[in-house]
Amino acid sequence: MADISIRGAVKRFSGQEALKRLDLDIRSGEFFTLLGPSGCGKTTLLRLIAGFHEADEGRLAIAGEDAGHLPPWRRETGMVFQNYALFPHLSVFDNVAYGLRQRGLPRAELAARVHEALARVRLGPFAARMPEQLSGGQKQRVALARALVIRPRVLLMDEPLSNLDARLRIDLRRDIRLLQQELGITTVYVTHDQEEALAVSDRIMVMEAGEIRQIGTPHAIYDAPEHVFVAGFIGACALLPGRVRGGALEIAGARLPPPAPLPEGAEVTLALRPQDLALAEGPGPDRLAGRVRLASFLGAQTRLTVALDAGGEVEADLPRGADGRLPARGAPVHLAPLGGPLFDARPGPGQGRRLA
Amino acid sequence: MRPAARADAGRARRRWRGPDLWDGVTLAGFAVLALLVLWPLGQLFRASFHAEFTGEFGLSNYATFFGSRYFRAALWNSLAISALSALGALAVGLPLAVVMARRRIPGGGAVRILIVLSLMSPPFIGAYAWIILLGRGGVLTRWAQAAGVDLPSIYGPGGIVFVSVLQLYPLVFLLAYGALQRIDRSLEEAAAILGRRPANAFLTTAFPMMRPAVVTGALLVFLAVLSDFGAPILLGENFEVLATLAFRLYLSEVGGEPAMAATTSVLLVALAGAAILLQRLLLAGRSHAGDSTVAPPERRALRGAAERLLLPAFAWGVVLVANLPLLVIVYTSFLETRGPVFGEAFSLMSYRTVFATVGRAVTNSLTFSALALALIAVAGALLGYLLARRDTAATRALDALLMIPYVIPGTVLGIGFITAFNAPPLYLTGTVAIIVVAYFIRRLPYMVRAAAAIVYQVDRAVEEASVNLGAPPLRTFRKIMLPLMAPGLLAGATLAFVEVINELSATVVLYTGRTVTMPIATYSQVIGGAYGTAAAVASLLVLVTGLALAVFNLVGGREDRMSL
Ligand SMILES: Nc1ncnc2c1ncn2[C@@H]1O[C@H](COP(=O)(O)OP(=O)(O)O)[C@@H](O)[C@H]1O
Ligand SMILES: [Mg+2]
Repeated sequence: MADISIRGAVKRFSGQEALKRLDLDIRSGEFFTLLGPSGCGKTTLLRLIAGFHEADEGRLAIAGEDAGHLPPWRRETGMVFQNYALFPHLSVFDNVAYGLRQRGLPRAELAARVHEALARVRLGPFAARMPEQLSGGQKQRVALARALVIRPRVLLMDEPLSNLDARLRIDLRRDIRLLQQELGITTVYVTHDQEEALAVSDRIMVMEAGEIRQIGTPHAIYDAPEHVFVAGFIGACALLPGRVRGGALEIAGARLPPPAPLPEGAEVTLALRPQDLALAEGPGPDRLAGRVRLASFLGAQTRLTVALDAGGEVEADLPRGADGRLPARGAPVHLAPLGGPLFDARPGPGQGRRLA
Repeated sequence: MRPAARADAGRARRRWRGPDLWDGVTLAGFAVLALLVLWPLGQLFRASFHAEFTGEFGLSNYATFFGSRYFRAALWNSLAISALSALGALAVGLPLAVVMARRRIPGGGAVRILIVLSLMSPPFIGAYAWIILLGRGGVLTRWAQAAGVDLPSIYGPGGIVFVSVLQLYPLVFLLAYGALQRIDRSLEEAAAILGRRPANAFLTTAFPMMRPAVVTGALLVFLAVLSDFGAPILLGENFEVLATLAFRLYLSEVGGEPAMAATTSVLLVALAGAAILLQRLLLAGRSHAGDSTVAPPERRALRGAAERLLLPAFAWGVVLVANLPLLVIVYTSFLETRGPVFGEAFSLMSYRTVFATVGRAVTNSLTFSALALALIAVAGALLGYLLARRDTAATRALDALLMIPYVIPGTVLGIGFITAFNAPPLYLTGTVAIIVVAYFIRRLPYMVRAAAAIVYQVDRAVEEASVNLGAPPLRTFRKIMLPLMAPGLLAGATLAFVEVINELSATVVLYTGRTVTMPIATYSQVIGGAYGTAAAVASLLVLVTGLALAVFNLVGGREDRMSL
């Protein structure tokens, strides 16, 4: 197992920076997820680690050794691709054996290791099949076995589940996580699906436009976003613009006590998750006024979508009422914010940072 | 021509430090094309600007050409028979494609095989067979005379066009048929629901989508006839075209006029290039419509007496007439002959004569073709991979250069080769090498395209997976790409073999007594009036061709790839 250290990594494509001076450390044995919208540079970073891209600047070390100048075939990483990338002319067995053959393993040991790897992904009986005879989920499990059988220093996965249907995605991500914990292998996992990232990771790195927005545990990412982008990207969250005036926070027509002392005139963004809003009895200066657009029953709670009178839209979760009645569409409601993170909205280098 | 994905994929992976194998392949590709295409063409081009006898630099050869009624006539004749043949091929190939794609014809599978077969039989053999049938004293001619009818002569422009159309209509058919298969049935159904009558729905929806196939098919026929040497030389008599003119100017008994031959060659290449440009212009901004995953409209059963009678008669009529030459050739090769006169009795005398007099042609043909094939397969695989996977200014230039051999008629290539390679250090005139190399360069572009087409279909990630698992690029190419490319390469190679073993127009300029080939033997036996021997050599050619096509089918080649 190995840790990965990246310092000042820059990658440009025809002058455009796809990665903007990244610094990060991935710990030995952890499940580390790169999360962000399409085009933010996740694949580029992963391919940099695998050696398919060479960084224009910066250093990469795997297990403490400089790896930035090793060619990809000597990096001892195991990669799983989005489109499976199985060798179509080789059987399942030969696909998995491919990396071991490159390493010149003796026959008996090779067969034993291939069968062990196939058993781990529950594909033992499929060794003789050809890739085209497998379902998508089976193909990806072959790809996983093929990457793991060489006992790589790190496992790299680029959106491995995105070609599978929803049900299978959940099953397979669980399998992947269990296997990773069992083997204790350092894993770098790329996804644009925040729910998937929260479910499987030890730590998540949220990226936007080639920059790191936050690195932290799923809890930290969800509960304590350090950047407005993270707040908006993870889970349902309303972002409301506001301003500090007369010592109070003016947001969507309401005046709220600021959670921390803020300079007069500061422009801010308040992030409110559905559970951060409670239904109030009536209007008040610290209430958000609006009308119900949509009420959806979710079982444990009811989620209201409310169009604010001052413009904008928020979602609020209501605990299940005793009478179980849903508020009518168009009914006026008043919501009390229970507090949420506040971000700097003033244009400039600090824009988006957490203020309080 | 280039899938859009390619640009992105090409950028994705630059080399890993320093020059690698593929830089070497790029360089070698340039070297080969420079030596075998640019240099000979350049020599012809240069020669065309130096006056025939004085060697003075200027346009005097072109002045001579356009000042002479005889030369001008050759130019017009070439244009006329090429254009008429293209029209004729459209007139036969298009309706046949529509009928075969939309109606169930009895024995339709056999019809399609026969269509491809007539494309594969060498053109000069078609010409020769029609001489046997419709020439002076031809079988059909005599029957008709006995019945008091005068059949039109097979000699002259009409005959050349007739033979060319029967030989080449499959090019139009294959492209149009392929296009019809790629049109989604919902389109025509939608048009029908919108109230159009079926025929009308077809014209408004399917027909426009076939335009690329029609234009490309017509162009391919035009180019093939423009550069054909066999049919005009056998059927033309006094009807001169550019290809035969260049040949006669170069090799005439009275010393030849190399500068005028060069001038004619340059004009021929210019015409072919112009035709390609025209096709590009006509198809600019259009991609080939539809894709192969759609459900093509179903073939409908024949309805009504007229359909039931006329459509099968049309389809079967075309393929039977087009394949008649094969039958005639093989049949007459087993007849007793005296000179151009066939007897009644069966005999193997023609074959005995072949092996006694031109046995060398058989072994030569097989050897030369096999050698050329090995070169084509190796170079085609490497260059095809390179062009599909690397997108740099250099590979794009290479791609463009590879287009040139498409438009060089065989006769011109032959004359260019002799002009360029008749002095040390490259004194190749009269050698085996010059023929093999000519075959190689003529068919290389087709093989490169075929190989590149396969590589495009393989996800780059498959190669990256191999590299990631520890196989360096060269081993990855060997272990992953080559096996994946093998069936396609083999299919491409058999087609190349068929083309090469039937090559006449370049060989006729390059051969000597030692390097005579089967097509040359056939040609000179026909010219010399030894029809039986000619039929026997031609039958052997047909046999080899048939075997190669059987291999092609075995390795899973597809009809629609044949016109690559
Ligand atoms: N091979 C390439 N050539 C040029 N630009 C590229 C290449 N690969 C990625 N990019 C650009 O770099 C940025 C990041 O891409 P990528 O890492 O693939 O994003 P993600 O995987 O997060 O969707 C994008 O703007 C993309 O267009
Ligand atoms: Mg990606």
